[in-house]
Amino acid sequence: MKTAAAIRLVLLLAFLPAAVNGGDEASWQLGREPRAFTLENGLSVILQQDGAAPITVAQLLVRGGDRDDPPGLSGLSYLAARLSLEITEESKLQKLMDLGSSFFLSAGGDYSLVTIRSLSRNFAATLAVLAAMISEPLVSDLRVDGVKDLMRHLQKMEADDPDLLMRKTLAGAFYDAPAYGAARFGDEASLARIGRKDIQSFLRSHFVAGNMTLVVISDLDEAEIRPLLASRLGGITAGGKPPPRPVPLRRPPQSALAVERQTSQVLVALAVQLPELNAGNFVLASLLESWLGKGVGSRLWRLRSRGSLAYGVNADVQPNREAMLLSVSLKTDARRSAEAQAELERLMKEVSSGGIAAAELDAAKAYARADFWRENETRERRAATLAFLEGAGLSYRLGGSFTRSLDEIGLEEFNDFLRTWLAPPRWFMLRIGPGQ
Amino acid sequence: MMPSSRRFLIAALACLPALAWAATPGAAAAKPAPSSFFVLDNGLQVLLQEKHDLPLTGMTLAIDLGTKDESEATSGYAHLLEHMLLFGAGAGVDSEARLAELRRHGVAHNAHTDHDLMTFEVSCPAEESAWALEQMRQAVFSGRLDPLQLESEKRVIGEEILQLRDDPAYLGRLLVMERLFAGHPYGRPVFGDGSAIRAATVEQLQAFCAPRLVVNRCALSLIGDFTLAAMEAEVRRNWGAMPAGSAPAADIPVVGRLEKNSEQQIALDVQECHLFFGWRAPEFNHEQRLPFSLLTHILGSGLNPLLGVVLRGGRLQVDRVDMSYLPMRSGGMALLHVILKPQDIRGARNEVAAFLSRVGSFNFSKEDVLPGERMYVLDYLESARNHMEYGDANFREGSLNLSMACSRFLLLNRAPIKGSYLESVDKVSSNDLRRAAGKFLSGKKWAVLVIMPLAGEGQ
Repeated sequence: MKTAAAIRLVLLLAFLPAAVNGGDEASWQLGREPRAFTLENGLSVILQQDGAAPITVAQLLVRGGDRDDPPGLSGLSYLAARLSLEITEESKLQKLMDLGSSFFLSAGGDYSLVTIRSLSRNFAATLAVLAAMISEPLVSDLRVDGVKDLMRHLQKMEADDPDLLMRKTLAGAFYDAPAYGAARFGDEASLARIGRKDIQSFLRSHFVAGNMTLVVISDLDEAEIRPLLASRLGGITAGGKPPPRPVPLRRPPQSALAVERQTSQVLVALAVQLPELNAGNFVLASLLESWLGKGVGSRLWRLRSRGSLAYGVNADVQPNREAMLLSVSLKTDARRSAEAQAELERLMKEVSSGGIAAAELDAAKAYARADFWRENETRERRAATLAFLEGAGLSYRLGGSFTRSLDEIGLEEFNDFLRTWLAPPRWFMLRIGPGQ
Repeated sequence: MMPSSRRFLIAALACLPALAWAATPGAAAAKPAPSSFFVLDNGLQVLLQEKHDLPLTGMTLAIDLGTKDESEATSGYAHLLEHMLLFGAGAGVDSEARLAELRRHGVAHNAHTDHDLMTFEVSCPAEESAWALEQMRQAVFSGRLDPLQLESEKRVIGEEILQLRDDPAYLGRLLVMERLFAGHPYGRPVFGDGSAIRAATVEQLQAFCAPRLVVNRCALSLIGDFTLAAMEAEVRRNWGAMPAGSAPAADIPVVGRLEKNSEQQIALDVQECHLFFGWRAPEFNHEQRLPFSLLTHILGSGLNPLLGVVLRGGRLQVDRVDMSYLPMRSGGMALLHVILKPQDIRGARNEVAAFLSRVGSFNFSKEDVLPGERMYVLDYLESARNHMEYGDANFREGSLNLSMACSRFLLLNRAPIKGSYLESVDKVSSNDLRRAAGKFLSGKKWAVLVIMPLAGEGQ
């Protein structure tokens, strides 16, 4: 028996590396398996080939977001990122327009993400223009003032949209400023304080190759793209990741907040802080978000189907690195807001104490699995997902194994998660709309 | 009258990636995706296309039924019917049980109603395609309308109306459309004013939908991870036995002339000031639809929209400029949405009018100027072509989006197709843009709406 077992062990060990590698190759479940490599200046690149369309999308993630704004300078990280994308010369603008290329900046608690869209035949020229802008941003008073004006507009947009206002208000309630609670687009006082030196200092520390991750999805061959990236982006200053600012965690000082607006409907939200972002918690939180509030027939849907309390319901997880934040919300006729809040609380109590049954968990996984594919069907979204996963330290490879990770969640594990993190003492209630 | 299968075959093929790709420089090596079009004996038009990058299928059923089919007395019925069918009960199960079963199969579904059409959209794991196709047919054609659910959906639609009326972008679009198409079904909101649907009964709803909810007024499009032969067999098995209806296609009243400009101002509790301009625009089958589409893009989209340059050149503090174009079967609307400081409203109106009065001689392309001057000229036309090429490729990556566009196209298109979409885009000239601007924008009647912040009202 001992000999037979030893032989089996030897055989197993002999085949293990191949089996593991082969298994990994086969298990990537989100398009073709990407290639990861690092440019000489330290820029980390993930490249996925996708021949389905003659277009190229690049997502450049730069670590440093709301949490990294120094005290009194909220909005600095956004301002710096936006300034690095300001087109400095008319000829560059003309070039980009002629190419039909575009770019877009989105900001988060931990990072900024620059989306670059281009026809593949114009990718080299597009990258040349953008690389020059990002490598050598022009920090002039005129440009800084222009971006500050833009940020004042974004502040108003945020205040006018109930969902954005909810996100901002909840961040302010759950986290300190500076930290995730910082106003992303600053306020009058912080914008007045931010000077060119602050911006230059932030750019010097954060806009360095070692602090960035680039995801490219293209129909172009790797042999064509790799030298292109090296020549265009190799000029970005080398440098490592700056230490992120510490984020002190806290409970909101009060358990409820009302923001008054003269609207027809009231937004009613319940929020809880979730654990820190790691691969396991991310998959659990994604499943929770999908089960509770994504799509027709979600758990929150009962507020609509039974009480006709709302047209739509929603759940949202902000994947902040130190502690994620879950909000569930609905918008309802101002006259029914008290009833809606009571029903929302009743449903969330049921979820936190009663948990989920095995059959419902299977259904939740099936829906979340398909939804992950739906969310990542276009290369633009897929590249953003991979950039986020890599940039957040979870590894882009989680994108290829996400659906398998979902399947591995156990009933007890998920119910423990619900009981621990959704317990009523952790709740924070928010109401945006006319006064009661 | 039903158009011939042949014309529809041409139309359907034109919206497939296969032909679009053939017109894409640099894409010659890529193989077009296998696709097919056929019409069942009962009149259902079906478009199939394989797409194997992820294990998903997107399917859309478009029905020739919308606000255009309503009267004042039935205003909002089409939208109410859509809610009833989408969220209704199944055979032997209640609504919640049916929705739970759909989720168990990974199926996401939704529906939309507009002035011309109603669409039911499903995205599902590829292995569930046949099951989901069956569910879609049952949901739409079961004929079950539950009185209790009707009352519930009326309240939900009440919430939907409130939600949309709190949104300045949506409200602006709605009010401008009301003014541009006053007296025509296109001037009525999709959800009506609420009064007709509050009074609606199951019997009235059934009487409204019976002649219109028939398979020969439908187009079905499936894009996904399947083989054409297997899916065609499934569609024929599942939908082939359905009886054809006898109702003629909807007779939409002709959109009359817009006799005068209209101006309107309202206030909301918002911090930004919104200014909307609306113009009548080419209908879906108008020969100038594509030039107008490019013109709209140049004027109000992309990195540096031309109207943004015009307004800022007039020293106005404009935060955002966005222009969109909605082509419908019997008319169209162009909508310009500007976010700006309240004190600049008058200036913006003057600048837009002044620019549009001379847009008939604007140089949209480098070809419009002498060779020696070309390096100083922005080629708006080339830029718009490239943007549309990118947008087209990006759009086609989403199986559900693509299936929705295809099924809508099948029902709306009446024009002969010459070449692919991108080939047609390439043929649009600077002169075509000037002609479209001259016909629909220069000196034309408009509807203007201002949404002022409550705090700034009266300025």
